[in-house]
Amino acid sequence: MKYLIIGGSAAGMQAAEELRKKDKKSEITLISKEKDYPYSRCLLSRYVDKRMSINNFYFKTDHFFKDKNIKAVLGKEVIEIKRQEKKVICDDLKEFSYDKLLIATGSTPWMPDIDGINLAGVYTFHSLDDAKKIKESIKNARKAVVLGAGFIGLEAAYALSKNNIDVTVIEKGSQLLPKQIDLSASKIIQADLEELKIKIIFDESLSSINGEGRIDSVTLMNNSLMQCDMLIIAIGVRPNVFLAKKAGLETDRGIIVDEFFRTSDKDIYAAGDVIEINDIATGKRDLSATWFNAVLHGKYAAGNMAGYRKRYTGAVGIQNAVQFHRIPVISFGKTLLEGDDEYKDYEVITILKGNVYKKLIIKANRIVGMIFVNDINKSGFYAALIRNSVDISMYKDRILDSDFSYAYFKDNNFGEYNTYFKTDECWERPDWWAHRLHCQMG
Amino acid sequence: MKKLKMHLERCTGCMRCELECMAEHSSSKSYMRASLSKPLPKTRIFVESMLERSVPVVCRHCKEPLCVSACMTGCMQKDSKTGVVSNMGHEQQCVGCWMCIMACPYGVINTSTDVVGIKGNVFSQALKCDLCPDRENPACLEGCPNEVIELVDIKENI
Amino acid sequence: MSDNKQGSKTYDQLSGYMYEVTRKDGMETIYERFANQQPQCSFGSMGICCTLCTDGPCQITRKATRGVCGASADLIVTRNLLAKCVQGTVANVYHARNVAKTLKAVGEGKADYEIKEPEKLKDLASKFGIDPKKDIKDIAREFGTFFIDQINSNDYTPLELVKVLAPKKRYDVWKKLDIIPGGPNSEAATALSKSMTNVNNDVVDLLLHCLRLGIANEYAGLFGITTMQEILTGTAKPVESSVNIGILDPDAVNIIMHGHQPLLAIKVLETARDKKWQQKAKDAGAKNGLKIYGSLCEGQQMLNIASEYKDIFYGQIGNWIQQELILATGAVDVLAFDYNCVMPTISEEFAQKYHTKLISTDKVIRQTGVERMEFEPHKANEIAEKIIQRSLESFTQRKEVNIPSVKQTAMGGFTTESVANALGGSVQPLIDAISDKTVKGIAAIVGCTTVREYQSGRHIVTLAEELIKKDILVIGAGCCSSAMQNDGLMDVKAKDRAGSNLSGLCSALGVPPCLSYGSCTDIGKIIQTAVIIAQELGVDVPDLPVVASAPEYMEQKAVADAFTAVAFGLSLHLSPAPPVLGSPLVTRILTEDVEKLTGGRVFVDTDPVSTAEKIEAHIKDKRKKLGLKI
Repeated sequence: MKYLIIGGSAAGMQAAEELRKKDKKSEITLISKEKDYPYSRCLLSRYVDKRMSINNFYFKTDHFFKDKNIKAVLGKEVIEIKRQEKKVICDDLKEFSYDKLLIATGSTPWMPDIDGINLAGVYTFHSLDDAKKIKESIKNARKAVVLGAGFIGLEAAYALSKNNIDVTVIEKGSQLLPKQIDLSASKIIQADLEELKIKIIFDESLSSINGEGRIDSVTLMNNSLMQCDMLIIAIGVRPNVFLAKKAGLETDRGIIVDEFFRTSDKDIYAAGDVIEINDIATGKRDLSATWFNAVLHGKYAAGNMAGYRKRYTGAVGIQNAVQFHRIPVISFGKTLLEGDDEYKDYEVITILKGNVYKKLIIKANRIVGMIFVNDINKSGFYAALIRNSVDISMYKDRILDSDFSYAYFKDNNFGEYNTYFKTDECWERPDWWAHRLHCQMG
Repeated sequence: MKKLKMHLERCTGCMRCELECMAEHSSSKSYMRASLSKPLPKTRIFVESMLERSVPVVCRHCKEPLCVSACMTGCMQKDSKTGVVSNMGHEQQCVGCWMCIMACPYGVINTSTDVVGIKGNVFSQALKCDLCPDRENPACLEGCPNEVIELVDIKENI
Repeated sequence: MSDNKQGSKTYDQLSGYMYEVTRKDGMETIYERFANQQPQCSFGSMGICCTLCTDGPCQITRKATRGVCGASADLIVTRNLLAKCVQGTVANVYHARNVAKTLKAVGEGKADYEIKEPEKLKDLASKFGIDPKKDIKDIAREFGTFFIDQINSNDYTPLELVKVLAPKKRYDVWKKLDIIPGGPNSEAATALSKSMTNVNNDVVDLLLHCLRLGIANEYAGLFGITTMQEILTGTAKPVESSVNIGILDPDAVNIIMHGHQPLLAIKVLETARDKKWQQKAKDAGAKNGLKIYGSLCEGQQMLNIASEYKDIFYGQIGNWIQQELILATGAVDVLAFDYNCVMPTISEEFAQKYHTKLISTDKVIRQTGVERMEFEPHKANEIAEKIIQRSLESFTQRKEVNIPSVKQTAMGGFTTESVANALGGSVQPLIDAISDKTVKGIAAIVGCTTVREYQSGRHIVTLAEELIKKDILVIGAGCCSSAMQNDGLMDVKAKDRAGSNLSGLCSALGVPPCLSYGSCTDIGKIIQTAVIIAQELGVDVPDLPVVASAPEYMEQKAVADAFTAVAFGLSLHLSPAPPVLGSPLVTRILTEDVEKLTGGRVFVDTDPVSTAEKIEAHIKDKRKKLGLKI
């Protein structure tokens, strides 16, 4: 069996590892258009602000590929998939054939269509190349502007401010991380970031980027001018569906796949940022562009490619854990109620005390979304309740109490090893206290 | 593979396992001194409660660990020989991104509040049970006064 | 454990409403603190944790069957229990001594009070050799002095109070067991010495000492408190009043008297009636003037005599669990407290946030940053005026006010005499009702409320409801009364929730099926009622179809009261289980063996429905033995 994987980031590389685990003999080839071995894309900001060095940046090194006997073809871009002949063609016209193909081409940052977008000094924050370029130009920069206060934008702003650059973030909406958290959480994080002297401007956007060959200022929608030496565009990503579209596979915004990650071609699978899949929290089909999702996609897709039927339910689009300065934030699932939602179907439970903010969104007695700010203990447990659509009607009055935990679900192992001996009936009886005495005395 | 297993009916909620875990993972190895040091060492076993009954919840070193999939640096790995899932002791460094905390369905990974410097890199780290690699029996097992915790050997094909 | 009311932390709706207010304000209440404490160590809750000496702290575990000093589980459990019993007893005795001091001061002409029940005083004093024909002031002085001397006497001289007042049958039982107590403070000192490291390992002796303390608790404590207070304030009379948090008035200056000792509260009521103060309140901006309320056991005492103060007493506000929630309304201008059951967070967090002025009125209660106006019998009027003055100042500091709009009513003011009066002058009609099965028996539901029942109040209310459905008359005292009042069980309309026989009796007499005797110190009165009924029937207390229950007890006075009940031969239901389970021996003694000694015993059940069934079975059993129809 010949396995071919296009794309060498989270999904592609996890699929390669999983394929080798399941199938020790077959040939596995991974083609990536980047020159680098798979690296931790989400941690680019830590490379830029020197918290991490390049040596520790690689997720899988060349040892991995050698040990597992996986062929890595780096620096080549696949430009066409010939489905009938079951082969792909690269930009240098080299051809690779396959029995089963995985498209994990990821996504690319959106670039706004405004004047000056091609000037030097305008960067995205998506690849290691970008990070290296930014690190280079930091040496001569004093002021920077970041467009977009999403996850990537704020990470970039943080990294730049750690290099003593004066940073201003411009956001189209009226809060930080607009797709992921709500206004109360945003206020807490804003206070945290402003301690680092990062300026944030809401309800604004750029009308033009100005400069001769190199950027020297930007113009906002309200016609004010802002000097800067560097501009980072971080307004979102779009899936790289070019290849799939050209090959005639079914696509919408992303490649459409079923629960086994098959595309409309039975021998072609897709995983990662590039696909659209049913989100269990929102109930709609959506993109799910996070690292964790991509890894899980890769794992399940590989399992299916190797012939094991592995159904993937529990996809959740919004999942983020982040800590900029002092305050960690975790957002998971359907964290916002939008215009087309029936408000009466949803119940919201919140706790706000000082800087600690916790919010749960509940629909039909099942948690569908959570935002935890500052106190992120046990957030994974709530995330598991969301992923498994667990009925919490019995515990609604104590769901955010400090003593609510996995212990209430100790009989549900979430599919893993059971750590509890089958307990005596003394556990179940209402007068357990009398029996615990005897259990204890042996 | 060695795993921890609990006799729930014997647990009294004294939380000595938590103290022993804190002591074991501190530099002074004594919880009296550890409780005076700053920052406070953190426990990796949690005695939770369910309607007045105490239930110890600890990492179960899963067969298909979600924390390993969520880890962004690749430092969280499941050892192929011992089966222990840990983010320490590997080539990649934990950077405290907290993705594993969001992934673990049992809620047994903790944030650390201190910032460490390792090989020129600086961050806070995620803390989880490592089955006490330096000891014959894990600290929590030896500290329990009622023999609630047991180390069992099970077959797990990874 | 059944979760029958989902989505609610409290059984009582008004408390639930105020809890949401505290949540929104980011205040930590007893509910959050309880959750933070979970799981609670069961070495402690089973009583097998000993922290007395530096060779410890010791626990009885699978490996260790003895503490370092050699103490077994039985001994550790009993030592801990004895210490709690001591605390409860001396607390009640302290209260009794305060009342006796006031009585004595009245006799010396140095108090702002007067004798409201001279016949009662003469009757009581004559039993102790004081000539009833003397001037009433002299009698008061002598009896007050006598009572204080009894409290201070040594434990090797049996208490006169016990010798004279105890019913003969009980006295004989106690004499045989050699548990007639001496002076309670001296008994306490001996008990504490006994429960030190390595002194006494005779578990039975320690438990018998608990019984001694229980008897002292009744005669030198509870009985003294209730009788002397009645002499100074008047006996309880049935009255209808308002209850629960909704009674606070946003347009009035609100003063809440909180705690256990009602003497000062009476003076505040009398002073507040004065037109001068009412006018001052109106001038300060409160269009409804000045209103006084009671909270906790003080409120229950004030409710007992509220028929004299209908124009100024506006109701009983709540029980122990609710105190933070009451302050969270923002409408409390002064909270004056004496003596126990005041949470530390009242002075450390809630008063500042909700602009309540705190005043402590007893030497024993000191909270940080609180103004002290310590009660002296001759300063009572002065202190009452100062309290009202502070409330006017505090009223101007009010900010946002948030009061639930539901108003509830309840009847209070029952006691041996008022029950007898309601029945036409003696308890005989009640005995007849028991005999002909209109009323199967009597259950006394007394004690504290605990947050351990996660919907605090649930156990009390459910149990009371189950019992009245079975035609068992319920008597309440302490915070249990408040929980029942908040649920409407002490309102005359509650007779519709009772069984048909009991309901008929209630309609005829115009009383609710659950009668409130007042505060937790009125447990002494309940015991006296039982004693009187037993004497009328010519039997001893254990033979009566009565059961005592403390379904949500929390505190040390409750432990002392439990031993009082057992000493008197009552069957006592407790929930949650007391910290004795670590010793099977002590558990067996309290649940089985002690019945052969005093006739009383303890049984534990955490489910109210099954408790009601056990109580009914016990009552039926007693009826059979008395030859009454079942």
